[in-house]
Amino acid sequence: MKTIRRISQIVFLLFFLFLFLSASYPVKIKIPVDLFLRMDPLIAFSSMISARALINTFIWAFFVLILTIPLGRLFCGWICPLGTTLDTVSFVSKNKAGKSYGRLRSLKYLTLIFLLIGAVFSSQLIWFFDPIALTTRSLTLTIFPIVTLISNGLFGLLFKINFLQDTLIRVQNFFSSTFLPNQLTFFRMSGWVLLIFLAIILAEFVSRRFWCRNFCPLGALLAFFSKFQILRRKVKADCTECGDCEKICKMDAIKKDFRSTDDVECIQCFDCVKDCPPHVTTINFMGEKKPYKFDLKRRRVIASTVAGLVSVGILKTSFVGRNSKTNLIRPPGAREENEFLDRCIRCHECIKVCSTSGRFLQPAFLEGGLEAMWTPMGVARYGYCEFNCTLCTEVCPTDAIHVLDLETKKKTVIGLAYIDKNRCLPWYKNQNCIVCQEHCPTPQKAIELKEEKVIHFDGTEELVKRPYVREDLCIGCGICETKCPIEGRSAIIVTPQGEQRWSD
Amino acid sequence: MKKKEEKILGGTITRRDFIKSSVGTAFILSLSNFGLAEAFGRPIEEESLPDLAVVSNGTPALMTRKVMELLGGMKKFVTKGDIVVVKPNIGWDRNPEQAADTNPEVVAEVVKMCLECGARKVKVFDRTCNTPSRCYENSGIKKAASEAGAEVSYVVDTGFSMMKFPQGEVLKKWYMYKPAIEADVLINVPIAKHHGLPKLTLGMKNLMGIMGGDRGQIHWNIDDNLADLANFVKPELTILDAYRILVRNGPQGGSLKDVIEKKTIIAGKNIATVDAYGATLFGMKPTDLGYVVKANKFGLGEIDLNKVNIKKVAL
Repeated sequence: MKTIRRISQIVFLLFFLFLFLSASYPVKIKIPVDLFLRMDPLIAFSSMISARALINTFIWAFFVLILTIPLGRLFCGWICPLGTTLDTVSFVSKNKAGKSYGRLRSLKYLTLIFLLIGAVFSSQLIWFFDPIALTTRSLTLTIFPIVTLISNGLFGLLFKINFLQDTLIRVQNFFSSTFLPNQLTFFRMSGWVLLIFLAIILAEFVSRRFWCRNFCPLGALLAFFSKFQILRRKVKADCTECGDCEKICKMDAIKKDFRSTDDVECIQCFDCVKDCPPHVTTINFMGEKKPYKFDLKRRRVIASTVAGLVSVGILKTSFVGRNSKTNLIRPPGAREENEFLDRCIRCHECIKVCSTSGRFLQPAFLEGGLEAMWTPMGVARYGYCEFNCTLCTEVCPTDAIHVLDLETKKKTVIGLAYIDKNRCLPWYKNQNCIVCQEHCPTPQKAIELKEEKVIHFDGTEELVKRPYVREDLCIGCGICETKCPIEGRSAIIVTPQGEQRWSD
Repeated sequence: MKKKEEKILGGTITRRDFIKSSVGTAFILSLSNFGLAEAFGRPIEEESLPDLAVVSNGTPALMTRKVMELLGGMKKFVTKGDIVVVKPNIGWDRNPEQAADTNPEVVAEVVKMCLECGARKVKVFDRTCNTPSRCYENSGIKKAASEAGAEVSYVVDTGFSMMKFPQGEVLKKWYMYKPAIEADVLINVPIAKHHGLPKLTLGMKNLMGIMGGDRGQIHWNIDDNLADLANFVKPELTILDAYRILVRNGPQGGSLKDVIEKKTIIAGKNIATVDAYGATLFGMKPTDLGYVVKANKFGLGEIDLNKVNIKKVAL
């Protein structure tokens, strides 16, 4: 069974990576690329409670729950890509199970309570903690760009060798037409995301599955649901009490008497069955069923409830709150800011897919207040919203960005450009430029040129083409801001003025 | 009949040369194959070849083939073993009907002709304005050109290097794409379109697709810059696709109302001459285009169309 479990883990991790890489232009597969996020019951609960709506993409999460009730935390042990990553780290480094920090274990339940309290008061707090969102985000913002950077650097180096050039272009093209982006992509916030991910990986060396044991709120949720599981560990009477099982248990679920188990902590990894020297341990459906009692002190539960309430309060009353005017440009199809924040889990699936298209979306820092941290925002100086693209709307697991068809998207206003006449060359320097107009993608251009007579300092007259933004045509895609050829801050800037948000 | 001719001309040339020389040069001349005639050391009468060929009223592929036939065949430009770069306009995420990118059938036909002339490799690429993969896919060029046998690739950042323009008056150096500059033959295959600043984008403007860096800045002095660029790159051949032309809201278009079916292909050795003729498609005079006038001064082609030997054929 241990071997089967390992195969399952590898298969699911590869599948996860495959879906991740498939989230790029053009999305060819029929399977939703955000399948793992849709399978996540924590995201499902939190989003639906917070949004006060049934979100039908989460039908997958329902299946996972159904599976959990009789079989326990099979998801953690067999499917979760973060769990597999941690197991892989331990496998490669031959890391041992490590010390037991039993008391810390209840932290994850408290985290869960904290998060769900947040959701009840319509504050989506799970984004920081959910393992699937966290993994997707780390892949998007750090690991993916790093891989691209290294491969590009390598190609750049080898490109100096003349006769290799053709082959290199071919190889690089193969990469960029399959899964890597056409162009190098850089992200804001990537350092922080990497630090968190590294911390989780490094905690593996304190004790195995340190994150899963002590912090993972998804694990906690599944533990609650596996309370009545029928797949349990049993030890036969002829146990020699060698204690090996207790030492190798990565979830620290086996008690000191080696016979009894904290069933809800068990992730059905079958290590103890496989490595039991006298082969007296089994995990099966037989035997006694006793409901598990959670180690939750009332005082702590109250503490985390209060913490949840306080967090919601701080987030919602922060100066740049969700109701004030911010400068954030949201992707097309984004819901009304309130609804958007209720739903967004910062999985960054939209940012990932955008990086293979217009490279518009970046995680926000504090521009929209603390509560909007790491939500997707358009940074038009760096990238722009591709006119013929609806990819970000297609990959959102919580429907924070509503699915738009191409014709609707082309007419969806996400902002409005304005010209900074103190920086725009035809305006302040009387010099032709028109790059913004050239790139404007609307069939009738939203940037119009008017030929105007200007008088230079030396008294000579000239006709210069000056750009004007047509408010009735501009959709705020931001390509003008991206391509504006002056250095530094663009002379044409997109603000969210007149943006159209989705609402049911 | 035509197909048979090409079959004879493609492939192993040296042996065929010998056979044909004994059969009679007249026959070869009747096939307009001056490339072969040259191989025999026969002097070519320049008068008999037009400076500019214009074909209209056909399918894109047929017209492309015909226009090259009028110019003396692709053999005149491509010889066996050459590495050829075919540089279409793939700048925008638009489909062929929207006339923002070169017609894929034209590109494919050019590729085929090059391969028939024994080109070792035909490369097709363009530095796009929108996301490369989107432009390559939606323009239809990726599919058409690779099916025709070309090596279609995205432009890679590492392929650019700063090059000096020795004769540059205004533009003295820029990042240029090495595979394009180092090719044996560069065939420029632009589409004729309206453009906000230089009025039209034709052959010379299309060369910006092999430039690196921030190309926006080229627009600040576009006429002089384009002339310097063309003078440096000097493509061996320019085939202007005017099957559909975009007359408003260029260079990107998007609305079919702005597209006119001209069903015309123009080709010539001299880039300024091709662009000069291109201006007339839009009801302009060649002298309306500043960069064409400047290029003429650099000796990149006659732009007084009355002085140009033009051969026009309507299919």
